[in-house]
Amino acid sequence: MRSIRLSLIVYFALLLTAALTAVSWLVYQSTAHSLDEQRRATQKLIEEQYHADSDQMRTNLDQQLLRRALILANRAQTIQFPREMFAAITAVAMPAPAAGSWTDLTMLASVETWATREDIFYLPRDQIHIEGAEDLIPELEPELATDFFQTFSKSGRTLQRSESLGDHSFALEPGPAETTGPLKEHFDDLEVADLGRLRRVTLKTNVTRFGFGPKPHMPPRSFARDRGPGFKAPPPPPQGNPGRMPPNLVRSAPTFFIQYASDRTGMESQLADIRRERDRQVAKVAQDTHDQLNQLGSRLFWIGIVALSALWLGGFLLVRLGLAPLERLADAVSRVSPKDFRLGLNGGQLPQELQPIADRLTQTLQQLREAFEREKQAAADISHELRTPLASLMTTVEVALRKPRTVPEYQEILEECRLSGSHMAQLVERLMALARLDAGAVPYRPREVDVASLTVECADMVRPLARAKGLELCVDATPPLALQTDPEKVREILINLLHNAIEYNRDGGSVEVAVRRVNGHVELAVADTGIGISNEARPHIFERFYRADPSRHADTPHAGLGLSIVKSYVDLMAGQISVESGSGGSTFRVELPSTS
Amino acid sequence: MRVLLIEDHKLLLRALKRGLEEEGFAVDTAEDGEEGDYKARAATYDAIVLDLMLPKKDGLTLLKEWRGDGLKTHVLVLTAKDATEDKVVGLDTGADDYLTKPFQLEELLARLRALIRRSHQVKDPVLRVLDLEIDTTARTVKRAGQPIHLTPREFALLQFLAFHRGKVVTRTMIWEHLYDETDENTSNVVDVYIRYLRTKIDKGYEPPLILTRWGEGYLLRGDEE
Repeated sequence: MRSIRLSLIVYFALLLTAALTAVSWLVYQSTAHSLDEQRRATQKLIEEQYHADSDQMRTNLDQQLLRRALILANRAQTIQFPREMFAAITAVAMPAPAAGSWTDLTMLASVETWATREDIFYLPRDQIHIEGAEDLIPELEPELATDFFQTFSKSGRTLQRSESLGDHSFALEPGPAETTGPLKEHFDDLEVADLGRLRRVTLKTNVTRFGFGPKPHMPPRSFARDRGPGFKAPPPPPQGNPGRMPPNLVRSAPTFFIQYASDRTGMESQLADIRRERDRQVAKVAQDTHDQLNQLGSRLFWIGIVALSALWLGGFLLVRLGLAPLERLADAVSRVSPKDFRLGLNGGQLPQELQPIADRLTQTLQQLREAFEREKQAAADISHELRTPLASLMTTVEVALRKPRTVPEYQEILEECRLSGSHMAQLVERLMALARLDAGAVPYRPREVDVASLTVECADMVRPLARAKGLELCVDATPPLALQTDPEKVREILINLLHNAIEYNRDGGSVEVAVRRVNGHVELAVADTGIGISNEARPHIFERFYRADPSRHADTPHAGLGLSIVKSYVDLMAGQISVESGSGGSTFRVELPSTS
Repeated sequence: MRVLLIEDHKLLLRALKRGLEEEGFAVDTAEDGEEGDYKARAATYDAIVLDLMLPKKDGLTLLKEWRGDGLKTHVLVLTAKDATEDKVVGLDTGADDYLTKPFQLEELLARLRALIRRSHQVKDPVLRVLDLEIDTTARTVKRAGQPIHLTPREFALLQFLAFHRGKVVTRTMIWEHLYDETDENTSNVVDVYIRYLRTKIDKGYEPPLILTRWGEGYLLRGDEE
């Protein structure tokens, strides 16, 4: 059996759980989302920091390399020509007077010729061309012994190599080598077998200065070379002021490449360190976020549990409170006894929603009580009605049996018994008719009926009775008068009304029965010249067992039922009955609709 | 004993009248309240059987008026109304007894007999005078132990004399109490019946119980004499 309270509580609990779950989920999700955002931002920050740092490291290394390369380049920018070469050259050739002076002359030598000094010659200045001067660049040393360098001529010929290189050598990539114009520094990474992981910068530079250097026989200077104990480095030869290249030579000043490389593993390990650090930080951030989320989750869970419990309890109490009036009502209803039909609730005890129920119940109980009263009354009336005929029957028989009687006497007595019996039978018939009408078990069978002939028939039936009472009976009915109706019922109605008219008449009076078509319906009228019906009685005459004059002529089978049966039949046929009455008599009119 | 029946149901009235007459009662009838009222006041009855639901004038109204006007006749209300409140109302209005329909005739007769005894202040249903025994309920008479058979009329007369024993009963009184309105009043009838009675009661028994007071009437010998 369903229980409101149970369903309410269950639904409320479900709703609550659903709502709290949804809310918790939403909160969790949104927090998770923002935490995630935060994490991502932080991680991005860390990434960027890392990138910045690693870039910085890389840049630092590159800058270092560049600086060192530049230092070398700076040193290498001066070609140092040995003086002897100058002197020898000048001594060799001076064919034609040059347009300029000494300073217009440049040295021209190719590597090969420098070795042989054979094809050194000079050309007028607009044809001068220096080649191979890069061979004359001073010997260079790397900044650090762990660094490597190599210089190349413009054509890619290796000029110098650092000692640290050993047997290895760099290669000059074609790309940078072919670039004319100022070369951006070109950095790259390379790995050489014994040397390790290197970072290299390629630099193109010009020879911009000339200078006179030491005699070629002098061994090149080496900063880092250790000759052995006791060796004293010879004093550096005097260096002339490096003269500046004459402007017209600058254009065709020789170019050479410097490649400077340094071990990058140090940097790389540092990079690895910061990368590790970054990873660690990233992981930590992730972990923190995860932990926060978990914490949030568990906190939400517990809050949810507590809230749920509290709300369940509250809801339960609320439901109980809310249903209390219902319980009160149910209780009051259960206490309604068949004795007093009263709903024991005072007005105002119930809330608005239930009050209509209580009112309607009270009303219904009232109606029930009245119905019961009526029924009790009816039962009393019935038994009352049957008692007298029963008493007369019984008394007749008892008297008859008291002593032996003659046959004619018995016949008379039996006749009296029969009369009583038939009287009671008629009464029972009427009561049954009423009972059937009450139960709605009376079928209405309409068919085509000539109401006028029916009226004449009924009048003929009661004529002897009227005559016996000295009454005149007039019939006003001209057949045919067709109507769709149930003839049995119409007959009952007419007979009843006619009996009444005859019964309630005064001596020498008359009874008139008429039937005619009026407007859309058929009207039956029965009029008598009787004592009439008083104003106070008129509203009640159609009630059951009502007798305007209580127990008038109780030997006729009327029990105040006739008119109530008539009315019931008229209602069944959807008709109307009305009565006019005065001191000169009463007229009953029955209207039957044309389409009955 | 003379009884007035006021009942509007013809069949019942007929049956009751016959039944009571066969018991020796003199019965007058009325079929509505007005007629009943008139008759009740016009003659003295030993009892009135009154139905409450009467046309023209209601039984309770009659009763109330009777009692108000000092009518002392015993009234037995006979009616179909059986509710306790009806009984109470009936009795309180002045009825002496109340019987509901349907009823057993025997019961009605017994109650009437009781009412009549009461009206004569007699308690013992068996009336004893010297060696005469009159059983008013069994309607038997014995003298000196010998049962004597009497017709209802004779019995009624003897009973009447016995109720008034020791007192003179005039012919008129006898007439009034033993004969109903339909009987023809010939004073001779009384004498005739007295003679019948004497033949049965006094003949062969001593002392004679039915005495004559010349110029007055008859009496049944009382115990004192």
